[in-house]
Amino acid sequence: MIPVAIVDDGEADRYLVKRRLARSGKFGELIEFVSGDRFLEEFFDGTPSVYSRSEPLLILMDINMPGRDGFETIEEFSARIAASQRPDNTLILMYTSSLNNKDQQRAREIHVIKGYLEKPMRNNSVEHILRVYDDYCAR
Amino acid sequence: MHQLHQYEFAFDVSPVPMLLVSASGEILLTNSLLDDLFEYDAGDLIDKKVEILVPESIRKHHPDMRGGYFGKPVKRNMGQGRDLHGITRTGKVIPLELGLDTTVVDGKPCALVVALDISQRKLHEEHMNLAMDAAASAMIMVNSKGCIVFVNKAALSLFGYEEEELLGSPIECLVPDEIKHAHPDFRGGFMSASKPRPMAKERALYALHRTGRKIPVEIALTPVDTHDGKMVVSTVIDLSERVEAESAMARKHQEMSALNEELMQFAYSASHDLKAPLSTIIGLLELCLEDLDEGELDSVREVLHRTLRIGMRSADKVEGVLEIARVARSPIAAEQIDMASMINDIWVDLTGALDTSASLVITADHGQSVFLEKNTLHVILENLLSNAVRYVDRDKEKNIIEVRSRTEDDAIFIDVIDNGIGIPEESQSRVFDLFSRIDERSDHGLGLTLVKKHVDRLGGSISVTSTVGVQTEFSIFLPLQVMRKAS
Repeated sequence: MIPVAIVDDGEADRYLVKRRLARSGKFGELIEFVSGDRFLEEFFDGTPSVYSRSEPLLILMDINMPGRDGFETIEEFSARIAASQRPDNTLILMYTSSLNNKDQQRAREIHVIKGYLEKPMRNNSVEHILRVYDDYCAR
Repeated sequence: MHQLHQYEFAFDVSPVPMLLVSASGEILLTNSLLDDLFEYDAGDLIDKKVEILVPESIRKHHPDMRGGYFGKPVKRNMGQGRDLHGITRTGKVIPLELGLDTTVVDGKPCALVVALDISQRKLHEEHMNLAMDAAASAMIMVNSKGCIVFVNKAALSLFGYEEEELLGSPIECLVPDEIKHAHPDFRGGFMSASKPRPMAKERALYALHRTGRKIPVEIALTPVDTHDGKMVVSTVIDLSERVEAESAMARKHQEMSALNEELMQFAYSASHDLKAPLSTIIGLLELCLEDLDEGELDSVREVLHRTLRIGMRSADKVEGVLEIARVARSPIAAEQIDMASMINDIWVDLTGALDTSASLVITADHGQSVFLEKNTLHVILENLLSNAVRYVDRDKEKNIIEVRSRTEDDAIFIDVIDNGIGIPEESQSRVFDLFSRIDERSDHGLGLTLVKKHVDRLGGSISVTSTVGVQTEFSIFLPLQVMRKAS
């Protein structure tokens, strides 16, 4: 079962992800964050069991959010992981409706970002996520 | 040694009016041209004092001047540098040019006088001056030494001088300091080349006003030959208005470019921010169809409700964007505003809907009546107060929102201060940006954009200072509109 963190300020978008992932039956615990800042707080200061699983944590990251946007959140996340010397057991995918080519370009340039998913989430999006996840684990 | 009769023939064939005068001033001989010029019959002037031909104003001094000439007789023009006149039998004053020479007739020294009627020339000069004064362009004539010998009215008003101040002055008094020293050389160069041409074709040219102000000009130079030698006529065209119009045009262009940039930015932001909810709606409806196929009616209902909420929120957002777009339109009428009661009214409306623990403190100090667009000020304050209420710090014992308003020098200064959660420094610069949301408590990210648009339109300014966890202060300055008395 794949543990999932969804970081998105849109409640309906989080709901959609929850429902889609639930249908596939391959995903386990799912935690929601309304912003990048909340995610960082929880991940580094909170103690949910989901971060200490043996399976990599799948993180679906929105780009346009209040406060830190998705990219800034990932930069900060990487910096804190490096500083804390925790093993990075996460797989990050951008999940956005951004039309901006620059965003896709930027996603490609940040090596911890393993994919770029366009909203809304559909069944084939879920298949895509599973493929990327399996590749990541098999590596 | 000559005798009088020897002159008679020469006088008769002379093409110019002539007379012969003795040292004591008697007219000894005239020719018919001179008689005609002064309107006398032949022989009438003989033995008369020459002063009969001299205008009243000079007549008294003339014998002395005449005596002076015979004391030091040389061939010369009379009255050099001055306008000379004669008077005819009927009292008509005519402009003359007089040539003097001495001779000896019948053993006595005499003056031989050639009198040229220059009425035509004078008339011509006058016409020229009238024509030049009537010209719209400033015209200045300079002699070969660089001295101003003529200025027209347009030139006097362009440079701010009186005619007598400029006549005889070097042209360099109208040349800006940085060119002043080199100018005599330029002038000399032109005098020797002497072909009509524009001055300094390739660069901006300035002339100096009496006050020291530099006037942008265009100057055309034309050499002219006059009976006083070679001169240069400068035609000066004042470019101030053109330059002003050009820079106004450049400013407009810059404004348009900025507006265009803003519009592009807006189109991008708007399309993104309006597409996002549509993507969500599409995703939800796809899910809904699947639920329907599976007969999960409860789920269908829930998804439809969510879709509906997003649709309504999006419609609301479009309204908000439209409101911002409308701000640029025509201003509304100003009216007198009671600040304290307006703020109170807004507060009652807000807290009725939001159920807040925050309390409001109003300080209003207005020496001057507040005369502004009432609805606009209402929108501004409503947005600032609703933000203050939304971002209260629940960890604090007391949530206080303070509005300080004062008038000074035809302006109103309004500070809205709250001890809420504050705005992180990195977000402060973009709080006024379209769709900029600070955290999950933010609405569409339109409120402060709208506020700033209104404040800008009213010619004011707005700024924010904030310390996270301590307080946030929005400061507004608005020029007050002048109270128009109801007639």
